[in-house]
Parts: sequence; C-alpha cells; structure tokens
Amino acid sequence: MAVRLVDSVTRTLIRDGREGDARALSTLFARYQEKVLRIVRLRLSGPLRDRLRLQSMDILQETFLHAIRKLKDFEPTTEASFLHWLSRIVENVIRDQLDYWSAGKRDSAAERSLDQSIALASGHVHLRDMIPDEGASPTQAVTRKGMRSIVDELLLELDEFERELIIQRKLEGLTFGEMANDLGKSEDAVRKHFNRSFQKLVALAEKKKVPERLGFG
Amino acid sequence: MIETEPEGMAEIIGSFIEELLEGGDRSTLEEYCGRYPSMRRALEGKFECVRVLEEGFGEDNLAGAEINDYLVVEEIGRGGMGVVYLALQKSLDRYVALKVLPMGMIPDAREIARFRNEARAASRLSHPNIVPIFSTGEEKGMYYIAMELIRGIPLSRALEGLRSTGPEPRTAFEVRGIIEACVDLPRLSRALGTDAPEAAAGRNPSPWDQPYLDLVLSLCSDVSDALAYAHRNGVCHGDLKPSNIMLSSDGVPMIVDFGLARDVRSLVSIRSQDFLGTLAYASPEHLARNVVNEKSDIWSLGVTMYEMITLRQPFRTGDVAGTIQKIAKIDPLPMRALSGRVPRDAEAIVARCLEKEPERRYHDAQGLKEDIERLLAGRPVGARPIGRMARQLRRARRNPVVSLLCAALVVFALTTPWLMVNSAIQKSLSMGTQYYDEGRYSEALQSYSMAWNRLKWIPFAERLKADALCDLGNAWSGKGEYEKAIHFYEAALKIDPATVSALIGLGDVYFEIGAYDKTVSLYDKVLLLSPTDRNSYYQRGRAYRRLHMYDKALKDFRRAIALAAGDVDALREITAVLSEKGLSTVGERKACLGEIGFTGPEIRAILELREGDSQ
Repeated sequence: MAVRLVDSVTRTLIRDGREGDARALSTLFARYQEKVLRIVRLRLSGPLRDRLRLQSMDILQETFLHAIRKLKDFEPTTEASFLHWLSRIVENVIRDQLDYWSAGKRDSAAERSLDQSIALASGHVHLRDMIPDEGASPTQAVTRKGMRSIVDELLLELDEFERELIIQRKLEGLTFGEMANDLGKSEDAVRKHFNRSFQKLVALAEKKKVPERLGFG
Repeated sequence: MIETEPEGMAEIIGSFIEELLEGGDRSTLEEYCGRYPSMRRALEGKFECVRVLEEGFGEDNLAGAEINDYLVVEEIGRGGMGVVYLALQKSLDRYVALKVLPMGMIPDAREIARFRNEARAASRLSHPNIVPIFSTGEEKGMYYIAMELIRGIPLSRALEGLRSTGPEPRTAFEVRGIIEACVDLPRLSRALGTDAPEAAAGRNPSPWDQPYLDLVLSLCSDVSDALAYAHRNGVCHGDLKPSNIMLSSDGVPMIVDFGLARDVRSLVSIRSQDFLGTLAYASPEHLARNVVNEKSDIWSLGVTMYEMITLRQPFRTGDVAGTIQKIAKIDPLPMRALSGRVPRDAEAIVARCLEKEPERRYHDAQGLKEDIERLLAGRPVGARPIGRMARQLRRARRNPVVSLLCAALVVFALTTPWLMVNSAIQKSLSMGTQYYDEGRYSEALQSYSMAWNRLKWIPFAERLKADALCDLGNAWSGKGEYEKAIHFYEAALKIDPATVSALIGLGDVYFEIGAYDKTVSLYDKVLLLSPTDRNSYYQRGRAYRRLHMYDKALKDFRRAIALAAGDVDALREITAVLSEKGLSTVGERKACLGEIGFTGPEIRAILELREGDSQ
C-alpha cells in the first residue's frame, strides 16, 4: 500500500488554521469530516455510538474544531497519520462529551455549532455548505449509504481488536509498521492478525450475501 | 457434481484474500481458479466479497482527495460506469462533474489504450447536446473524466419519476417538477455560481409549456442531432440509454459517456444489474456480433423513444436470455396498443429505428432527426407504418432461423473476452475426448470434470454445457457405471431436451441394462431430430429385437442398410431375427423379407450370410 503524504492543500489549511483562519479550518473540516465521523463511530462502544447517532452533527463539528486547535502540537507527515491522530482526538472529545451529557450536566456552550463558531469568527461560510450532513436530500443519501453502511455493520460484528486493525489499515490507511507502533506489537504479528480479521470479514460478507444485496455478482 | 474439496482449502482461500489485499485483481482470481478449478465457486464468492468490502472502505476516500488538478468535494451520482463527484478544478477555480471509473473496470493495457483513444475522440466533440469533456486522465490507477457540471438529472430518473406519478395524461410540466424535486438545485447552483453558463442558452425558452409527446419528440430530435454530429466526426456512442442522457432543468438533453461503451458481453462479469440495464437498449447486431455503429445508436435511440413515450422498455424481460431473444426475434408491442394517443407517424418513426436488420433503419441519425422535425411540424414523415402483412412476412422470415439465436448465444459464450478460462475448458474437453477414444475412461472423466467445473458458472453457454454433461455421461458409461451415466445424460437433456448425443448415450445405457422399451423411445426422439442416422435405426432395431417386436426390428435394419449399403452388422441382426421368428426355410425367409420391403439384392445378401454369423 502506497504511503500517501499529506498534500499541499491540507498543509496550507493546517498552517492557515493555526493562524486563526476560520475558513481554512472549515475547509479542512470538510475534507476529513466524513472519514473521521465514520472511524469514530466504529470505535465508540454501542451505547455511545447510538447516542452519537441521535445527537446533532453539531457535536461532531464542535469537537472537530476543538481537535483542530490542538494542531499546534502536531506536525502530520502522512495522510494516514493525520487521519489517525485526528480521529483519536475527536473520539476522545466525543467520548468525554457524551459521558458528560449522559450524566445530565449538559453544557449549553457545547451546543454551539461549528457553523455558528465559524460564522461568528469570520462571517464567512465556504465549502462546508456543500458537504451534506445526515439530512441531505434522499437521492444523495441513497448514493452515499449503501455499501458503506453495510460494510460498517459487518465491521461491528468483529471483536474490538479485529475491528481496530481494519480501521487502522483500511480506513486510516496506516502501514503495518505504524500499526505495530500504535498497538505495541511486532509488524509481523499485526500483519497476520490483520489478514485473519479481514478473512473473517469476508466470511461474514459472504454469509450475509452482501454482494447480492448490493447487486454485485 | 464431481467435485472434490482440495485439502487445505482454508489456507488457499487465506492466501488468495491476502493477494487480493496486496493489489490483486481479476487475473489473480483466474490464476487461482486455474490452479484449483474445483474451488472456482468459492474463490469467485470471496472475490466478490473483497471487491464489495474494498469499495465500502474506499467510498469516502475520494471525498476531499485530490486527483491531479481536481479537489473532490462529494459524490453526486453512481452508476455502472463509475462514481460521479462534484469536484473543484483548482487551476480554473470552477466546479466540474468528475467521473471516476471503478477500479478494475479497465482490466488490461489494450482496454486502457482504447479508453484513452475514445475519451480523446469524445473530448473533441462540441455540441449543445453533448456534455463537454474537459479532460481525462489517470492517477494512482484511477481513470477519470472531468465533464461540465449539468444542473439536471439523468433521463432515466425522470422516467422513473413519471412511472410513479400514475396514469396518463402526462405533461411536460410534470417532468420539470421531477427534475426540481431530484436535483439539489440550490447546492448545485452554489457550485455553478450565478453566472454559470446555461446549457439552454439560445434554445426554446419554455420547453415545459408544450404537450408531453412534443417534449419527448423535441428531446429526441436534439439527441439525434447530437448523434448525427458525433457520427460525422467518427464517434459512436455505443451505449445510448436514458441513464446516459442528462436532462437539464432548462429542458435540454445532453448525452454523456460518448465512446465509452465497452464490449457489452464483458459487462456480464461486472454486475448483472448493470448488464441488464445496458442490454435492454442494445441492438440485435450488437448482441450477436458485437457490432457498434451509427445504426446501433439509432436502434438504442429508438428504444429510448419508445420508453419515453410509453414508459415501458420494449424488450426488457426479467432475465438476460429472454431479453436477448426478444431483441433478436420479437417485434415490440406497437405503442398504439399501449396508448391510443400515440400518433401513427410517431409509431412509424420508432418502428423504423427498431428494424431488426440495420439496413432497414434510418440511413443516418440526420434522417431520423429530420423525420421527427417533420412530425413536430405536422408534415408527413418519411417512415411508413408497417402493415400487418409485412410484419407477418418479416416474422416468418425470421422464425425459421431458430439456430440463429443458438448460434449467437454460443458465439456469445465462446468469444466473450473475459472468459480467459475458455481455452482451458476447450483443452480439458479435447483431452477428455482423446482419453475416451483410447478407452482411458478414468482419465477422460478427470478431464471432463475439470472442464465442467469451469463451464458450469458461465452464463449462456448452455449448448456447451449440455455437450460437456453428455461427455461425462459417456465416460461413466465407458466405465460401466450406468447409474452415474444416466444422471449426467439426464442433466444434459434438462438443459436441452434435443441434445442428440445425450439421447443416444442414454438409449445405449438403457439397452445395456435391459430397459429396451426406454431405448426405443429415446431413439424415436433421436430419429425425429436426425432422420437419416443409420446407427440410430440399427440401435432401435436391436432394441425391438430384444422386445420380440421382430417386424419393427426388420424395418429398422432395412432402413439402416438403405442408409449404409452392405451394412454387415445389420445383415447379421436380420439373420438373427429371422431365426428367432422361427423361419428356417429359404422360402419363408424370402417371403418375410419381401413383405418388409427388402429388395432382391438385399435379400440375397441376407440369405448368403451363414447362420453362424448371426448373433
């Protein structure tokens, strides 16, 4: 798998974002929103995942903004490492916030959406407008859902470690070396575990007749 | 059927999946299937699953990705030819529709070269009813086409919408409502900007005010004008259908995917649903001989017109074989039978597009356009309605050629390029036959089984399948395993009850096990299909003899001798029958043979045979 370096657009957006350019941050957000949201959802435990699904997208947007502000401490080199870093932060922030809310200590400040933040900060809204949220038009929803949600359903049937391996490798795009580092195991062991997990996923897909359901084959 | 599960199947599948994850593709599948033919089904299943999973993981990867000069914003459509994204072209700061072909869609270097050439030719087309191609390219193995972003929906979606709105009368205004409901206009408008070039500039300012049929006709006139222009520039579409015609919110039809059509047969291996979608608009010559030209585009536009007018697809049935047969042989139901509102001239125009013989269709798309324009202007059209008699005559001419479709299907199966396995099947079959001829039945069985295990997954190759099953039956029969032989012969006959070799094989097996009545009835069928087969008369005669139906036996032997003069086997059988009948004197024998119809020389030849020669 080829290593994809952080591209010039992302680098520029990060730099501008650090300097307080809200438009840059919103664009950066637009680029990674869907991927990060997907990864985070897969990583959260069942009850938290459900809660996230019920809550407004604003939670994610707010926490995302919060995460991006931490950028001053991190200099990403590859797309995968950036995505991994970003999704871990977002995951932690969401986990904290959902726990906090579930304890009934809802903070009204946290309800403020990213839109509002950006609008307040700059009076300018850009690309983010064109990224549909969960309430996008039905035709969009049909084209976007399909495969992704079915594959996610399958992933949730794996155990946590197997799922993590697949998230890191297939969604974040980490190399086996990076995964080994993150998981504290040898590269060879990670590779073997990953292959086994993927085989399990294939077996699940076959058992549930996923290709047929999607009109393949 | 004769499939043994190789040892270490799990290991093989494991390493297969690993190879796919490391970038393997369809050729990896073929390689594994070649190595483990009995595992083909399992391997294909895994291959499909990995493909779905990879697409499921990869779906989001492009949103936010940069592909050369384009920044992908989001997905706006998805179809058989790939996913379409809204993308920003950075250098020109404009939004485009970026079509990214699915990975593995273009499997080899030859196809890549073809894609490049055709995309280049299509990108030179400039016509108000053809979606302009800005650029094509490749990055990291992904092929893409950047096109003008159209504020509209595919015509197929508009037709879907009309189907759900209920019965006639339809109005052009309804179509506009559907487009507005489907297109996220504000979002696209933002992308296009307020000064986005209007595709409809200079055209009918209110296409929605006219009657529905007029809207259909004017849309088809525009499409045929675009086709005529492309054809003059040496580019055929090859896959024209409603999903390849965008209908803008200003009522302008615009053709997409010019020249990107692939061999329709290779689509079988991609997605059956997409294949059916394409198949329903393919011309008879496209299906039978893979011929794509101006005439086949005219056919496809005819199918599209029919569907726009009636909201029904004229040739589509529930399955591939039925659709192919309908396209090849059956005239569509006249539109006027579905709706009395359809003018005769409109019927005549569509019927002329849908002539089975290409030379009977419009000479070119320009001619079609002119006829539609004449109809719109209320002038008489060039196409004349086909009378009932002419229709009957044509049907009669087509029907005797029953073998045409079979031949087309066999060619279809044999020549399909994705069938890399084909030569392997042929090789196994001919090796099997060689072993069989040498009496090495076990080896023959092995080879035939190998062929069968590949063949059984191939669509359309029914003839070949029946023959292969029959070969398996012969090999089992050779080994003396009659029960198994019967099983295979019957399987062959299930595919095609007129498989002569299976009828013969089965007849012979029943003879061996003493079921002579069954032998007779099977050879009855053989002789209906093949009335000059000497061997079949001889075999049926032998069965009659065992059933003590001596006259019938003698008649069959006589026919065998008539077909092969001096047939010693038949002569011996006759002598035996005469003895079994208790005719011992020359006189009695002569009289009997004369009654059956033997000629003088034949009788002499029979009587000259010594008694001991008979069985």
